[in-house]
Amino acid sequence: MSMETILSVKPLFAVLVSLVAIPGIVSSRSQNIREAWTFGAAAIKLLLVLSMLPLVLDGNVLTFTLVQVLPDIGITFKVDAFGLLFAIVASSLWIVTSIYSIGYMRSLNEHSQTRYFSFFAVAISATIGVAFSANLLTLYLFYEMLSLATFPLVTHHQDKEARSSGRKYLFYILGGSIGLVLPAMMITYHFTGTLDFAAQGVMAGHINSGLALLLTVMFLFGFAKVGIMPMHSWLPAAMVAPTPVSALLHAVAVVKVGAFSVVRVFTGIVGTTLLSDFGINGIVCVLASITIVVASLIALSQDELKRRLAFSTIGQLSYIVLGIALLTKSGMTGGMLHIAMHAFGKITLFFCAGAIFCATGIKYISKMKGIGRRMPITMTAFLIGSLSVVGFPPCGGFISKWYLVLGTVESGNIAFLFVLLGSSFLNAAYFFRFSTMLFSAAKRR
Amino acid sequence: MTSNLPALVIIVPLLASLVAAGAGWFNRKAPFYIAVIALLISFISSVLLLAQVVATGVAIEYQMAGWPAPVGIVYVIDHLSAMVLVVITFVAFVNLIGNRQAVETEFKNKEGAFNALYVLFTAGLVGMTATGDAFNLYVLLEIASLSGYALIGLGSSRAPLATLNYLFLGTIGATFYLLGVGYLYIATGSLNMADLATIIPSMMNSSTILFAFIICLTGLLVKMAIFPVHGWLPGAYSESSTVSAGLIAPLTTKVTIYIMVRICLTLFTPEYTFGYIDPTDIMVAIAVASIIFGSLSALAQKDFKRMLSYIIIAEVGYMVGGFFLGNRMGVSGAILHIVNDAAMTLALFMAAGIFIWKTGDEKQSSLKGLYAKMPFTMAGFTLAALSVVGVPPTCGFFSKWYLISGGIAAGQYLFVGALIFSSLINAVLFFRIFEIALFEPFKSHHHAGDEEDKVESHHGETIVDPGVIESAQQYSGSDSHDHGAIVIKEPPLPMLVPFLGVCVLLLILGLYSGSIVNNIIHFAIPAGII
Amino acid sequence: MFENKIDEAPLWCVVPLVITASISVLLFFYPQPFLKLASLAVQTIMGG
Repeated sequence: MSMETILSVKPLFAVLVSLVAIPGIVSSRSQNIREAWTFGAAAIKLLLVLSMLPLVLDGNVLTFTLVQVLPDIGITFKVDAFGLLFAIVASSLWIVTSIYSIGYMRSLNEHSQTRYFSFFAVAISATIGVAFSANLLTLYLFYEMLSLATFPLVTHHQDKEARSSGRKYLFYILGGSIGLVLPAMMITYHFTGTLDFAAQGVMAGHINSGLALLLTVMFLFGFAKVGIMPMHSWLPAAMVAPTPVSALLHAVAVVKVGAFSVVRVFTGIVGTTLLSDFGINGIVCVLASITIVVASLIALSQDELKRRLAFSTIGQLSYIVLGIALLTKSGMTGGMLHIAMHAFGKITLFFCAGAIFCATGIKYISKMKGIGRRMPITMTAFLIGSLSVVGFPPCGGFISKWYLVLGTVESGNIAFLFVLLGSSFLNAAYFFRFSTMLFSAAKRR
Repeated sequence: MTSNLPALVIIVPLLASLVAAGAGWFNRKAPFYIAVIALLISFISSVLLLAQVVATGVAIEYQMAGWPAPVGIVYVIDHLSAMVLVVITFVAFVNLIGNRQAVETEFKNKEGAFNALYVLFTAGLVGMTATGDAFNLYVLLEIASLSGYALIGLGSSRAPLATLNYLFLGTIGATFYLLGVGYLYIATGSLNMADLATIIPSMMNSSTILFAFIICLTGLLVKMAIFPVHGWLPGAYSESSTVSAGLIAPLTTKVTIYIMVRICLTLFTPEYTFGYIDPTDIMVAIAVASIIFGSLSALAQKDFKRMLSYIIIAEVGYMVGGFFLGNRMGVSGAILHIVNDAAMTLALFMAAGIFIWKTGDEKQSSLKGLYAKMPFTMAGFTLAALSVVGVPPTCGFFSKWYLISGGIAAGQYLFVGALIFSSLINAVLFFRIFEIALFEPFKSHHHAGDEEDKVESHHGETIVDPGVIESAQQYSGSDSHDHGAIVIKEPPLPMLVPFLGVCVLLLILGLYSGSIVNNIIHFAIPAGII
Repeated sequence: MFENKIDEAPLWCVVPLVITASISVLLFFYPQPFLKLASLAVQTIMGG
């Protein structure tokens, strides 16, 4: 298989198409025309992304430099297998979420829907931008763009709760990116002279073990969107957002951008060799494991459905980090697959939470007893989503978890196998106890 | 014509100030147009000069009145001064056209005086930038300063006091500089910068030269309001009228930084400044103090313009620190930040002008609900604010990039930390304003000639004033059910368009910062600085 | 607590969640596109 680098403007167009739709969204005279813009952009975006699939599967890489902003760094796009995987997930789910947004926002008669759809488009642009970034600077640019575009979405309700959640959101996300990622990026640049993502990383031979550890940890915590504890608490707070926002952004785009960035930096900047030679990956595995276990335990105690889902997401994100940091083939495959598999499962769960809220106005699990009787379709979907997130066959989540488990075995460190199995058990506990509760009341009739 | 461009840049505004002052007696509108045309000519000449310098790569020397250097006064347009000339004339021009309405209302019956002072101030700065003569620089510095004092004095009722404060410190600063030039003249017998640069390396050990260097630098530091000699700045900038502040705030400190760069590199030569004296540690320490003090003080301000003033003090720290890192990255960052910070400050002060036009006062708390009422203005303001925070791809990010890179390369991690800290504080500062403007309901305010109170009483329907940008439809109907009728009222187009233009410029400057550094700044820094 | 009557959320809400739930199941049987991309990515990083 020959690797070829192809110059192509497709990645640029894929990023820009949703931005270009914004003037259309803003100036539309009716809601239907406005939504047509969203769908048009979403469809074109998905087609553009999918059109790159055959080339990438053949082992090619597509690149495009928009502008050379610094002497040896440009705003450059590069489409490789991992980026495309994430882009497909994000752009296909944007379409689905747009349908859902229409149902949700209109049925609840939400205000400022134009603003909502506009910033949603910006957020998706930024997400694809992150997926297609060829270097850390470009990634940082789109990462920040996503942080800022999400702020008006998180605080959509413009009340006191939204305001304090918004503050928390910014404190962690911007604090992390400006306070940790930016200096880490600049120090990396100073010592290595490049920020391009390379297959084997760029740090090896330039940076000593202590500094490498420091930088790795700065990146891990700085990309607060991945929610490694203690940088996680913005995510439950951000659940004040309208449910479609929580669904796409806080189950797929935003949090997975965090995970994606961490994976990219670990593999493309720090480099797997350096991670294993200096034993840094062990520390990362431990941090991820702690997050997995603690988040699963907290999720058990949450009564508000969306908050429970949020804590579940925090745990699941750390699966991805753990999978990568195991530095085994299966573990890494599992981690990358989990970005996709978890996305489809978790977005289903959020959609269900929103559908329940739309139909009944209920947010708390304790009040949902027997709801399966009233909303059988929704609750069946919920069951499937939970199965997938927990990792049971016949759902996609099983595949990624299978690889993750293989990865722990390959790494020879059985402790992490127990972390995975134990947390899956906890996940099963908090999802199935809930699901059976919903249906058990139905049996009583 | 082209050969006289250097003269045109300064003489046109100088003459225009005389003409404008006189024309004010006959026609109340004429001074404004005279000023605008003069600044436009000056701006175009500067752009042509920059293009010429970049194309040929050779500095242009212009002998005033035909006397050759070192006896006569020469104007030297090289990469650095050409770039700063463009900045000065651009800011002066855009700020004036963008604030036309404010000029008409705030300086009624003083149009002649105001416009004359405005153009004179610009001429002073232009001269300071272009001159190749150390004493001539002092003369022009005084021209700029005196017209600056007068412009600020025309502001609010407390402005005269703030001006007096500024005048005291400003005069001390200028006198220090003059004293330094005097010592230089005693030691070398020359006032021409290029000439001095050839003499100084041969008398490195002279204590007179050392004293001249220290005292010149001190004078400039006072003029640029670095901590702890910043006392005059917040009062002067926040009490002056917005249009004066929009001219003086972006330019005074930046041009003084330019003078510092010019004196240290062209006059005293890098070998002397960085090789012999090596003031990096102490100057960076002062810069760090200035950054931290400016940022923290800004946090304590309730008044928008006052907050901006303290941010400027922090930004001065960026540039002084970056320059005295003494490496190519740091100096590039400092010079790039002259351009970027001028544009950012201009955008923010123009935003301040619009806020005052809209709400009638300068408190941050009056900005309630502005996102819904002026979406375009607020979009521009958001962009400018993010640039100050340093979010890519706005220009603020890129100057910070060079400054931080320089800091890391020089091992000045305290400076790096201060820059990051100040970015975080700036994020807090501006998001605090975003929150007020986004979450809080708009405080109804009556403004002369502004009928929004009346309009707002018609609940349930949206009224868009004719002549105001129509983009209200998406906020109409059920969309705004829990906010009542939201009336979009943007400022008039002559006010809005220049402002938005500057905001877009922040993006363009950011995306093309690579070209600016490669094609201009790279040549402005002597090869000795690595 | 809830009556026996089936009363789902609006169609626009139900359709998407049915779609994503179906995809979740579908991905178990046909994980190829994602699996291929992930293996390809891992191959570049880990070699072999």
